[in-house]
Amino acid sequence: MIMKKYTKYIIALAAVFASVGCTHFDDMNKNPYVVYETNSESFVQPILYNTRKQLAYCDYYIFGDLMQYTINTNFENSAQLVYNYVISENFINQMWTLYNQFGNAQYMLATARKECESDKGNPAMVGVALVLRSWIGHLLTDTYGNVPYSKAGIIALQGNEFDYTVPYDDQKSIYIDLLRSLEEANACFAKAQEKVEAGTLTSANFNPICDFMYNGDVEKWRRFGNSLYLRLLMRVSNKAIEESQGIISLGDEFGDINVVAKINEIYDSFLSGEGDYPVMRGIDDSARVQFSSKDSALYTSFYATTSGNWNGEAACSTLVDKMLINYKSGKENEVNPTYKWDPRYFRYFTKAMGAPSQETREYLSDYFDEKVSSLGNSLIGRYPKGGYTGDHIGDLKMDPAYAILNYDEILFIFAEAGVRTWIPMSQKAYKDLYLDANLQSILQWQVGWERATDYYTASSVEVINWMDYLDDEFDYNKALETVMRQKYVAMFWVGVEAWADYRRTGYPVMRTNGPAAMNNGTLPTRLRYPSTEAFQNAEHYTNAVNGWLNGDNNMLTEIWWSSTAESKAIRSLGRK
Amino acid sequence: MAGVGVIIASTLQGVVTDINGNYEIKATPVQELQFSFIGYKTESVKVGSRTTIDISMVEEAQAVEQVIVTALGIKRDEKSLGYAAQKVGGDVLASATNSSNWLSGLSGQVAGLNIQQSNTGGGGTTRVTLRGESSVDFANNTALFVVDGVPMYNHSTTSDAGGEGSLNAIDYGDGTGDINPEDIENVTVLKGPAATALYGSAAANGAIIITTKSADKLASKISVTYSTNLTFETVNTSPDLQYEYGQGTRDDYYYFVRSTDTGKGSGYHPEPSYSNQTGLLSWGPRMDGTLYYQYYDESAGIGGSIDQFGDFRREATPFISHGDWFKDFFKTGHTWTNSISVSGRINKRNSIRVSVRDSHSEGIIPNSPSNMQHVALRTRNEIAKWFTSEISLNYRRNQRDNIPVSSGYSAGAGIMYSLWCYAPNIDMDWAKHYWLDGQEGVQQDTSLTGGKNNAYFVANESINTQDRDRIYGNVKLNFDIYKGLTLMVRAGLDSQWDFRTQRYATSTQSDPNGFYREQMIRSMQYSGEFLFRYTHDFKHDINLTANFGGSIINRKYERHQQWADNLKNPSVYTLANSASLVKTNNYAERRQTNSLYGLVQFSWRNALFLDVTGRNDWSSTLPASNRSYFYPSVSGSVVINELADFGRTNGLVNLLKVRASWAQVGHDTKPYRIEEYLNSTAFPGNVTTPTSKVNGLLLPEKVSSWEVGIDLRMFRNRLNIDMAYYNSKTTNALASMPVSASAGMTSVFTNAGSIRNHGFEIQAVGTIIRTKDIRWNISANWSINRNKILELGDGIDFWQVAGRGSYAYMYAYEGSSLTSMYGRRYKRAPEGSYVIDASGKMVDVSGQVVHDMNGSPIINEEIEYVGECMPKWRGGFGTSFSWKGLKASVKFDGQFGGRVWSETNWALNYRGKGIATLEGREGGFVPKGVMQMADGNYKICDYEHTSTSIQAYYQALYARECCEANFVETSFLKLREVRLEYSFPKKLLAKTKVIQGLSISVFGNNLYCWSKFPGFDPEAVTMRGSALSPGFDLLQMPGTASYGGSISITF
Repeated sequence: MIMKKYTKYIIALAAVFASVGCTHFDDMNKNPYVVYETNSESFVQPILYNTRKQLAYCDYYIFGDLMQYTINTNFENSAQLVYNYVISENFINQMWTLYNQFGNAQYMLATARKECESDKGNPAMVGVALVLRSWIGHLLTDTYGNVPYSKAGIIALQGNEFDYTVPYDDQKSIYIDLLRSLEEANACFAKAQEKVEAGTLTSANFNPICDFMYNGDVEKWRRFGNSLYLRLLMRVSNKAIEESQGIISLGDEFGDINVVAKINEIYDSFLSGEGDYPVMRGIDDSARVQFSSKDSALYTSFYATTSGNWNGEAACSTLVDKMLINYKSGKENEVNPTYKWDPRYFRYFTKAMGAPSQETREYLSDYFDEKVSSLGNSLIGRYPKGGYTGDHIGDLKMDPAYAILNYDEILFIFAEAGVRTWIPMSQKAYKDLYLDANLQSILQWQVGWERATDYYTASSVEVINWMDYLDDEFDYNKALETVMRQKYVAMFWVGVEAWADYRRTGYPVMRTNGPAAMNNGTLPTRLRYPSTEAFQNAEHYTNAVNGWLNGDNNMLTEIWWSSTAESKAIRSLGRK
Repeated sequence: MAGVGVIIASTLQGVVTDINGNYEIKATPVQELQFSFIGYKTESVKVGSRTTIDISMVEEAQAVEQVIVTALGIKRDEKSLGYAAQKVGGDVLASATNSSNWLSGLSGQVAGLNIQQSNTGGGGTTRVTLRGESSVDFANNTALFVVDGVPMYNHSTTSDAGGEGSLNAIDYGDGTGDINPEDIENVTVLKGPAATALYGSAAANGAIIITTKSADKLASKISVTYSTNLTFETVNTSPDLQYEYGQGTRDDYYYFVRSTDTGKGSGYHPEPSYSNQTGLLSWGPRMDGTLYYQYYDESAGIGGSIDQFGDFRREATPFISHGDWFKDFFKTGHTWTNSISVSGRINKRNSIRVSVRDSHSEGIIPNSPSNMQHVALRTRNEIAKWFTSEISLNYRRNQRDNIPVSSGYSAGAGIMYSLWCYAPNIDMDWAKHYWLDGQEGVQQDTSLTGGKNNAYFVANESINTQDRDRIYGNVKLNFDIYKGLTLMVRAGLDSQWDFRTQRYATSTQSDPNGFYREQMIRSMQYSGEFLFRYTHDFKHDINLTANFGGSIINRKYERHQQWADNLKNPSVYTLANSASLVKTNNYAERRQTNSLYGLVQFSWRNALFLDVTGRNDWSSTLPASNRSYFYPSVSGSVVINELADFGRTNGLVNLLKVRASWAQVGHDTKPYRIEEYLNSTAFPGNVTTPTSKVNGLLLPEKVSSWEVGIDLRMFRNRLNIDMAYYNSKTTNALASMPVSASAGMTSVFTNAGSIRNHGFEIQAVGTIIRTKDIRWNISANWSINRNKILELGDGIDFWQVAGRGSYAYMYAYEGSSLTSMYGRRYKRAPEGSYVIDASGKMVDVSGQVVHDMNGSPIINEEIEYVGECMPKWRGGFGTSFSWKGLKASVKFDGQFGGRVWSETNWALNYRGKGIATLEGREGGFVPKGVMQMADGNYKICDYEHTSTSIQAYYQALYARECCEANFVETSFLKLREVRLEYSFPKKLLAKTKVIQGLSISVFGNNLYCWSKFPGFDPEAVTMRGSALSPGFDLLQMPGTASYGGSISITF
């Protein structure tokens, strides 16, 4: 029979099929171009770069216009006029996307903690992770108020039993954890130092390739961490004093702290260069993320933004009035003989013209050239008056270093604490701190990066002239306002800082209810939660909105640390 | 049978059978008798020594359509099928064989089949779906292509940095068209899961089974066919462009200086030499010949002349329309194809067919040449009586020298993005000189596009090349093992190498330093299968066929990219010319599916049929615990006319079949979705967590469906009607579900919810005239599909299926369809709103658009439902008429209902280029609708827009943010094909003794489109990332009409 004859072939065939079984399926489903686990330091640079890049987008499109640094001339649609407090859903969502980086920081922290379970682990990495997480965490809560925090960003750590709905925490408890985290980070850095001294760790520093900011220098991370701690202490100080005489309980490990005492402790460390809380000691310590147009890995958010769109962001008179003194801002482009100017101005902008915020299109048309086009006009052809070419937000487009926290900021904070008499010091002492803060800010903007073009480089004479002016006009009766005004100037494009200071102190006093102002004529106290939350995180979102927001996802409810009597009173001065 | 003509071949002698079917004729034993009757196959019988010759006539139509190729290459009698399967003969595709993609020939031919292309010319991706969208992942919903029994490995890969979903995608094609259409014997469309249950996962959305020609049925020993054809392609549709007003804005500024003006506004520059710009907007003055200083180009002598001192002086020239600025950019494309095939039947046991095809084409976009070669070999050898082998082998080469970035609103190198920047008052010829004088190769001239890329610069300098080689084929061995038992063993291979380059020249808008990228994609599919088949005829007319088989399909895919993101020297496109570190990006995946399956068929008296199938798959992409999954199907049919007589003898009802089927098919997922990993970043050694959560508990997606149908053939097969109703339900739908970013990732892979598709299909073919010389056929088909989300996962309110920025979204909510579109709408007066008119009467204004105090429509902030993007129904209609060798055919098809979000509509009207924006340009205009007053009450809109504010009005009316404003109808009716073919009579050709067949045809495809669609082609979809995405027209390319002719000659 044929069948018998060929049975052996059939059996052979069956054997071939049987041998190519499922045995390699697990290997087959492993991605060969990724890693399945790595060490904690591998997360640092991506978190720094991605967070600061996204934040710069928000600085440009949201916070710049919100804080009256800039006015966007290009948007035809009223839905995008941030300076009138109309903030589109697209913009609302931009800060929320930072949760991705928050998740990375959580993953890094978990990895670093696991590393520390062995003796060889470097506690400093836990510190770095905590600093990064605290940075992103405060950006989120300062923007939206109560936000997902304690259970946020951990989906990657949850294995197969994951929960993609995340509860919202109230801002006070978030701040308690932020402060606690930075205490812990400082302790971790100290512990790493001890391990090095004890010889169990060769070096506390980590691989420079993982950290373009400080090249893995853990000492600098510690100073950054404590400076961030100082920033957040100041943020909650008024509220804590009003609420509980400045006492905040950080839980079992770190106990109760007094915010004023803590600021003093940090100030002492700053003065002495010793102590438990080392902070930044010069502009070289500033936390800044360097971008580059030469390397696509380091592009800014604006690398491909057309110059037409980029040019559409004009200077706002609120800022210009503080930087160009006696300059007839606006229509005539005239220079007054007594004109004095801040050397940073032409770092920020290339045009000496400022337009007011919250005005109608018709009114603003006098400030903008609508009649002349230049290359790259993408929408309608409005430009700030004065000249046809050139960017007018300086070199923030291509090769900037965007600041996370500049050295000058801590000087401003110490000066403010001095004015408030929280840190006991003489009037001259806080004035000196104030002047130094301004000078350091100017220097920071001078040396921050190489300019591609030389529109302007301030000479030392011009810096001295401006410093003399600041010195002369300092009024001890208005010391707080002056300090906060100049801090506002210095906080240009430093994330949410200017907005946070405004909500905390009310300074600088700004008009907020101009003719075109929406949002009840109030500068938004927070951004709305993204509308996607209503779908994607429905239960927790509803709880949050029905809770502290009284049922309305608005931009008027005071967040925890901003709802102080002082702040509200000063902010109301801008509503006339 | 009465009336059958009986003639002696090659003579004129003949008789007709009497009423009882008897006949008498005198013939010699060497002569041949021919029996013929209309509608039946002509039979020839050698007389031999017989004195009585009885024959039974076979109905022609049935004879032709009887056998159909079903899953696994099993040939079946069509009437035995319990599911919908439709065969399309190679001749139906005839005209389309000459177009850039033969698949377009299926358009409108098959009920329930939908073909979508992105209009990028030859070689582009074709999205073929059957019976709706079954899965949330659109890339997962396309039909499987099977060539000679082996599934093709078709994939498309974006080469863009933006990755999936990017608007800057280049359509490199997905390989579905990689077959020589002239090799196609026929195509069978298996629509539902029941039909394809044996193909497993990949065929859950139906399958297109292609059988290629072989030589084993050849009449003569050797046959050579040569055919040549030339096809021309032109833009066939155009948006409703206006040709009355030119560039500029309404508020007295026109970007250039009017001759009589002394200047307005402080930005005015008194020298007429100042501005040489056009803008994106066309709200300028009437093109009535008024003199203006306009665009000038010294070297081309435009806009001025050389004065007596030899200097170029600008001159005011008439402001006029120079014709169709948009269409002028496109040229007439052409495709010239030559193919030759040699078929040989060496003896009854061995046959071979070789075909070669060579095609050269140039698309409608300047500088877009491509060519293609295809070689195919097919042999059949009967090595022993019990052992045959069949080999099918194909080599295909595609070389495309420049694939345009087809669509998308991006500052990259999109042709359409650039084109929409031109103004009606320019002559496209001006733009052809695209380098600035003295800066050739360094700086493009963007004067005519308001600073955006010059379209000719993009076409000529932003070049995307592709070289693709593909080899696919299989070896099949058939063994007759025992009486009724056969074994088929087949091994297949599908291997592709795809080398691509992309270049941006220096001064490209998005990448001022230019870039150069290379990409190598390598894919390989090995498949092996076996199939035992046993057939047995029992007593009592019971017949049993059992099949048992198994297969392994292993796929490998690799992608290696090298990018030079900044060029050191302009116009030097090598990786070595990179100004920064060359970036590499690599990806690879492997996957395998092992399967075992069985099919048992029973039949009784050729009247009752029952099929039962079962298949178990093991997929490498699923977690170990869920890797193995089984799915069954049952289908049956009853041929009622075999059981009861419906007057078959008088030809009233020839076939009445009722069929029903139920099936379940499992569906796996993509690799790497079950185990957590970290993504590498552009920073060496640094990582981030991915943005999508993997899930180690994924289950296979399941599609369950049932179907009932009727197949009715009447009047001697002159009227065939086939109807089907189907209902399919996807459960455990695999979705990448968007979640709150606060979780740390933006989406999770999960099995969530279920989706239902149900619909109705009808197909009718009628033969109106059928005589010896004349035949007139009419065919029509119609289909309707409804899609509904039955449930979403726990705690999930919706899925975002697709989206375009913050302008338009496709959301799936429970109870609505998967393809529902959402976005912002105009504010409308609520129900019960009224106004008091002048006479004091209350007028109901509910639902009217509310305008603000400046007379602009108000757009709601909320995201609301705006409509459905899938059409309500689709249909096709065709007729063919033949008289002797002359055959003429016309085909129409269309769809009704369905709207898409159109960025083209936005560009057209927001920028003032469409005729919809003409009203009120001069003399103003009062919008229809109401205005809301400060007290909340309404009044009839009385804001009169002036010729100045009319621009602001239209820009608010057509705001991109307003989804409703740009949500446009896609209903259409297309004259799909007109074809005229003449085959020379065989008698005439017989005299040449060499030529056996000669035919000449002329044809036109997509000749006309009736549609309200404001863009180019209501059918076209957009390429995003590596997938075509329905529902969005993102500055799509024009549709094309093609005209051509071909000559085919057989020796």
